[in-house]
Amino acid sequence: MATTPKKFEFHDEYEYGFNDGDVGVLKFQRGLTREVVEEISRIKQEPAWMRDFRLHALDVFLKKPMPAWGGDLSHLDFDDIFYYVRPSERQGRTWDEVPASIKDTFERLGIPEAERKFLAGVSAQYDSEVVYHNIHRELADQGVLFCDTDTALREYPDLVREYFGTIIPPEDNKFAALNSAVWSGGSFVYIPKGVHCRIPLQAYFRINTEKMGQFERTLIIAEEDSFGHYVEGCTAPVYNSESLHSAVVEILVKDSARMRYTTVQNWAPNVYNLVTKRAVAQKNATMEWVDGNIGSKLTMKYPSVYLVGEGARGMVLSIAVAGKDQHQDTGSKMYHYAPNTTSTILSKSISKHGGKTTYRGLVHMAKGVENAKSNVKCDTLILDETSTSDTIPYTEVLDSRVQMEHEATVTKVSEEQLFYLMSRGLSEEEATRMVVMGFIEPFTRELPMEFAVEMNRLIKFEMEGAIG
Amino acid sequence: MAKMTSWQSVARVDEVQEGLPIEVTVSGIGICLLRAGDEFFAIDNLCTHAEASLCEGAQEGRILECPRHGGRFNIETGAAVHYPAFAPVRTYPVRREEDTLWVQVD
Amino acid sequence: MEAPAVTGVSSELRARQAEWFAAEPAWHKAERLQALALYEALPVPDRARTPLSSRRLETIPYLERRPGPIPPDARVAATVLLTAAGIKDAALTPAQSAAGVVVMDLSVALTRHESLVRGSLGQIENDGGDRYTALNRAFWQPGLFCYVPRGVELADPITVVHWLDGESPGYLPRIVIVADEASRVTVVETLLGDPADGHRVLVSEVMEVDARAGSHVTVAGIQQLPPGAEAFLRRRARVGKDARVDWNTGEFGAALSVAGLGTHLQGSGSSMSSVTVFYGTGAQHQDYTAAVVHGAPHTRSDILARGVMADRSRSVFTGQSVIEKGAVGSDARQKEQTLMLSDQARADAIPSLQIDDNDVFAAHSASAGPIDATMLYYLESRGLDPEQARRVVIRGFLEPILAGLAPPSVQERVRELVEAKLGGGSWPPRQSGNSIRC
Repeated sequence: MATTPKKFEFHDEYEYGFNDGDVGVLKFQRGLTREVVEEISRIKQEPAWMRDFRLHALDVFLKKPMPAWGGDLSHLDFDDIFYYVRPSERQGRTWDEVPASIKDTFERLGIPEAERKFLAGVSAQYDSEVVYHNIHRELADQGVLFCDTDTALREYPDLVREYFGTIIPPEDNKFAALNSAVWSGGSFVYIPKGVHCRIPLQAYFRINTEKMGQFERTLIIAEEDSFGHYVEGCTAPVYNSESLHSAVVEILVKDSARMRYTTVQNWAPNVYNLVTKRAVAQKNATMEWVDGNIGSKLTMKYPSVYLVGEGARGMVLSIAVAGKDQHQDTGSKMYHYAPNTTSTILSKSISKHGGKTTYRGLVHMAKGVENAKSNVKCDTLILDETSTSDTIPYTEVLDSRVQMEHEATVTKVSEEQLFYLMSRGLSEEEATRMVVMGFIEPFTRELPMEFAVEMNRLIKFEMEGAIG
Repeated sequence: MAKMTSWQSVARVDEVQEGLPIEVTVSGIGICLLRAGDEFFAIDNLCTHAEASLCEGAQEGRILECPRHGGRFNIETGAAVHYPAFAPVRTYPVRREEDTLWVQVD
Repeated sequence: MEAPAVTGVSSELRARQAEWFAAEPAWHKAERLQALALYEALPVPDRARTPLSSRRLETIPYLERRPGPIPPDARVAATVLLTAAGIKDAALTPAQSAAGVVVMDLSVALTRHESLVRGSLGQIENDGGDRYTALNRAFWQPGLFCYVPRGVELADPITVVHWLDGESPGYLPRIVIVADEASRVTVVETLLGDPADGHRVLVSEVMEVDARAGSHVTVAGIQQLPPGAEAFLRRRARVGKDARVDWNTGEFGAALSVAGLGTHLQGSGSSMSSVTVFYGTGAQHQDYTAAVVHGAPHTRSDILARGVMADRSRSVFTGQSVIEKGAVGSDARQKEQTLMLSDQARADAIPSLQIDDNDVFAAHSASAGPIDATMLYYLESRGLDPEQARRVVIRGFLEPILAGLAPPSVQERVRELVEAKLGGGSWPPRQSGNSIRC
């Protein structure tokens, strides 16, 4: 494998306390073994409990079978993956090596030059030092903790130990087990009691090179009465040679707190994006997932909320766009475990150019959840005759004193709408784009502004060639 | 001997070892029988999370872990002690009469 | 064509098959034998929301023949009566006979109408993965064959009564219905029997319907099996060009009912509808699947279901609407609603859509909830006592679906069964006198 001269620097090197000169030749192989896991823990200088946690998770991963449902994972070769790439060994890429289609997208989205290089894996430093420090001063004022999870484990060990793995144990599913064994990076957020975090917490502004790592592990704790908004991802396609991304996100929203987690995922089309995201909402707490899935070869992701306290509320607003050779298998799970809880799921999917979208969701009303309410609406647009879509909702009602409603439609772009718009002078392509933008508007209006602008541009771009 | 009308004999004591729970059926209900030390416990065999078979799970003392997603229960109280399990699992009184175990299901 | 040699089946069951079905044609005996191999290789099904292992189904000796007595006037008003002992002569109306309608023992039809039978039997229901379907294929008896000739439109329904005698541990009926081109027929089947103090019986029924081009077949199935029945009911249809199948089902009885209909819309312009009422009481478990595959352009499907769950009962309703690539101009809809009367009951719904073409329309909805408290209050303020008010609301909930049931005799019977469930009295409801009305 060619090595290119490294023009970048990683702060991590210094945080880990070594530089290349000190360490003997240590090259990670492809594939997952006990040695790899032990080495990851050793390099990160983790406490014994985390090392043991990882090793136990590895055992679970090896024993669990692949899921018998969902997307096609048959070409996923676990032995052909680097499970940990040390920052100093990260393979750089020259701009010439970046595929034209990716460069094209950057152009159309108006991505700034420096950001392009970062996203394409050419440069690993995002020139945001100044912005970063300002943000962190703001947060420090409020007592909000926000850093990468590796740092949190070092600096707030008791806090991390109290919550880590309590909402999503390694046994939850094969990919949670994998993440639990080899996790690296991700965010740790702690919002103290009563604090309303004034600025959105963006993954971009963590001081860590793993802006979009393979196996991110995120832990968010919102204490009573607090508020926070976490934003991850970006609309520009993220190019990465490693094709398996398996993240875990655990969120605890305590009494009367509110947390919103916004994601726009646009992984490159070689990526398997298999994510477990779950939040626990206590009494009168609110959890909102705003989830946009544009990229990847296959995404399997079902942001969930466990409504365990009376009056808790869960909301999922998601869109999925599947183009050529893509499968978005997404949805949500809402578990009502207390009275007066409410959940709403609004899912909008678009499949085009032979893509496939699957909505897979679950609403569970346990015994004793008097006056719980759930409303689910899933709408799908299939833009052409080669694209497909499935809608598979599960509802489980174990108490009579609840209201549970689910509705879904699957259609093509309505001919009446097109006719109307075209009669106003729009081309068929423009008209279709307008209909699609209107279709996803409930989602885009919830995004932070710059995201929304990028999002609109991205969809316009994606819609090109979507007719005929 | 007390009259045990809703009690049913379900297994021999030596059929239930600590760490090796077994499933029995009483009145059409699948029940998981467990042993911790010299005490015996009976719970619904279906996990309250997604109805996996609990008797195939890993037991450590009074904690049983569901094999499918890792939810955990206290087999004595039925309470869920780890996500993704949350709703408690039903427990049934168990008695030992010499070499036989009896479970009460109403 | 020679069927491949079947090896590895238990000699005991092979011998039983050979003895029981000795008179059948060779081709059919070979198919039974293949099904026996399949049955023996398959485990008790693993259904996600219908736990079967604790039901100990395999402790029921369903392959033993122990036919019990049949009430003397059992055949009142039915075209044909099916029991574990066999099939009692069909009684066609003069008009039906004159038109050339055939209603006969399927085992006789194997020879007398070989090509018609072979075109459907085991062809429309061909799921090779289910133990109790394979069981029926290997050991079905009694069997019924119905044929309606080209262009014949029957005004009166063909009524089939299945009577469980209270002693047989197994009941494995098979029905094949062929509606030739442009014909019209209604077939009503009722499943009931001697309550026999909770005697356990395994029922596995398979019905196959071939609705040929331009035909219109209405099938009604009223399930009011005795409380000890563990029932697996499968009804399947193949629908030709511009043909139509309307399903009407009522699920009221049995301890366990795993029922389902599957419709393959093969011909362009074909359509299906399904109206299902289910009412669970006690500890009943009702698992119902309504599936349709749109395999041709301009096909329509409409699946409707409403259920009431009381006491500790449990329902699972699965809708599966599949629109295959190329089935342009198709329209698939599902609507399922459950009324929950008790905090011990459970209702699961999985209305799914699988759409592989875009020039289509598909929609589904599902909802569950309790009796509307304000409606109760209103009725009580009009002088009804709480129990009366409750019943009015439940009837009101089911009414739109009941009104859509066909034919009228079925609608009437289902209404009676709803009343019996509402009354909360003994189940199954007493028949007036000794006769079985249908």
